[in-house]
Amino acid sequence: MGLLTIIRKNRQKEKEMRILFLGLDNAGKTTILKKLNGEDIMGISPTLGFNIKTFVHRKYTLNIWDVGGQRTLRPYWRNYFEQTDALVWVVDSGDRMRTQDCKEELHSLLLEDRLAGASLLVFANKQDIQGSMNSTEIRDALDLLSIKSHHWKILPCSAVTGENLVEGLDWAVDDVAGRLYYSTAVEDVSSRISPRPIAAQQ
Amino acid sequence: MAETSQSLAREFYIHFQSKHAELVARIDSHSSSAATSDALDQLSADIVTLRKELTDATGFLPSYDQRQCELKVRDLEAQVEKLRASAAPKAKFAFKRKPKTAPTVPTAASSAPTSSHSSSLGTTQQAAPGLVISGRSQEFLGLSSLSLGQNQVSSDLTLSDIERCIVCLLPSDRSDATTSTSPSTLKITSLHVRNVRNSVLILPKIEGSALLHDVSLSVIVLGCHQYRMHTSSKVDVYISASSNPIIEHCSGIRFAGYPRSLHQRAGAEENDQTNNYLAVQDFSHIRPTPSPNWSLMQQEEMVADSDWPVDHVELAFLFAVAFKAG
Repeated sequence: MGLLTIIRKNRQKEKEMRILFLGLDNAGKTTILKKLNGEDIMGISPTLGFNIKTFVHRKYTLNIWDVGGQRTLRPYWRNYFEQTDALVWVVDSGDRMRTQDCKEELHSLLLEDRLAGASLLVFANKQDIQGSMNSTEIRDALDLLSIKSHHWKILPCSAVTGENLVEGLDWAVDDVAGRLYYSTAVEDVSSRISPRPIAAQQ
Repeated sequence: MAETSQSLAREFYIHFQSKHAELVARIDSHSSSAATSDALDQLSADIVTLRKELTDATGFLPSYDQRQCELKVRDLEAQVEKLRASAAPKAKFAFKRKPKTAPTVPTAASSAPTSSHSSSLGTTQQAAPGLVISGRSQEFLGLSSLSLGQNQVSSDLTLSDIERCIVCLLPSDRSDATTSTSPSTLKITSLHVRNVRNSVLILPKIEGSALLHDVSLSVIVLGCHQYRMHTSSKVDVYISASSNPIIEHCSGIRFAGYPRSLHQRAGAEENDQTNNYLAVQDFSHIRPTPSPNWSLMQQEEMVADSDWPVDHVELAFLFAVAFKAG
């Protein structure tokens, strides 16, 4: 392998992003993903295990990991943290009975070292259903304003109508890209893993 | 070179110490009296400046000193945060945890939760603005029990804390029997059920998903897109679902198809062949062996198609019989 190959491979890697979809069961993670990918969303069964989708969005290749949210599967989430550029937390906006559960799971994820540098996008899903909480209610219920460790954004969306799905992905990609370019300009790519390489370099 | 950075470090250290002492003094003075938000803002602005200076100094400051200074700055920030909290106890977005609402059903209060998982899920939030039936016992609940607005015919439905009830949300056959408040075309777009015992739920075809927690000793009839059932036991489910129903932390669940005699009223097509009830998945038993937690009902165990009540009068009668006997 020549030097040129190595450089080329590195370049390739910079254009790749790893995005992790998590959330409680019945949030609509798989449905969002299928909708984004233009697949049929009617016959989706609850996810046992995980799905991976790779697609090109703008000039980036996105590797999206969608892991099942059933309680028995949540302990396995940790197996997917490594190298995650963006975390997408999907919420069932109609599920008022589990907002506490939802908040606790999210905040415990944010304490994970391996997710330290990741951008956080919260999808307040199922906005098409009457009686759903709006994104402000979700923001307060999940106590998002207390999050200082991650860049975050919340968007109301609907996997059924497709509302705001692409906008959300755009934000996540832009946020990650901003970060990646910075770190590559300052030092090598490996520093992405550490949470605060930027300030220390100035 | 080494000397210059050393002297720079020393200079910075002296500067940092004096700033730090000054800030500590200011925080102390505020902690005795109530601090104004202006003063606090000024304080945090000064701390930010100090942090900036520290960041600028990382080029020449030894790593041990960096860490020590960093810790001190962080300590200052924490103290200011504490001051801010005490000065304004009602912060703009404090998340308020609602006290656990005790089950309103008196008979349910004495019996233990069906499983250990239910307690961790137990925090119930305030009532939803979708359709809600909650805290009922020994009642017959039909469409008229829902407080339906005139234009609210498509909505989320929440059923919680229900004991010894019959809930039938199928539109009635007889047009004369329907009350004026119940629109004949109620469309439920998602279903959340929690804490239901000794009850019968007869529901129409739901457009979206059904999520159930803590159901026991009950019969459920429904059609839905996705079916998830958690921490439940001894429930008979008559279901029509377009994907695999799943159960988790459940036991003694029996499945059968949606009763044919109710199809028409439920708004489901007779030739609806998307029934996957055979392929139930048990997330608590992810093994090739069959799960002990659920089974398919044998023909003789099911309520026969012809035996399903056809109207509310009959249901109400059944209800009366059932609870006189029980």
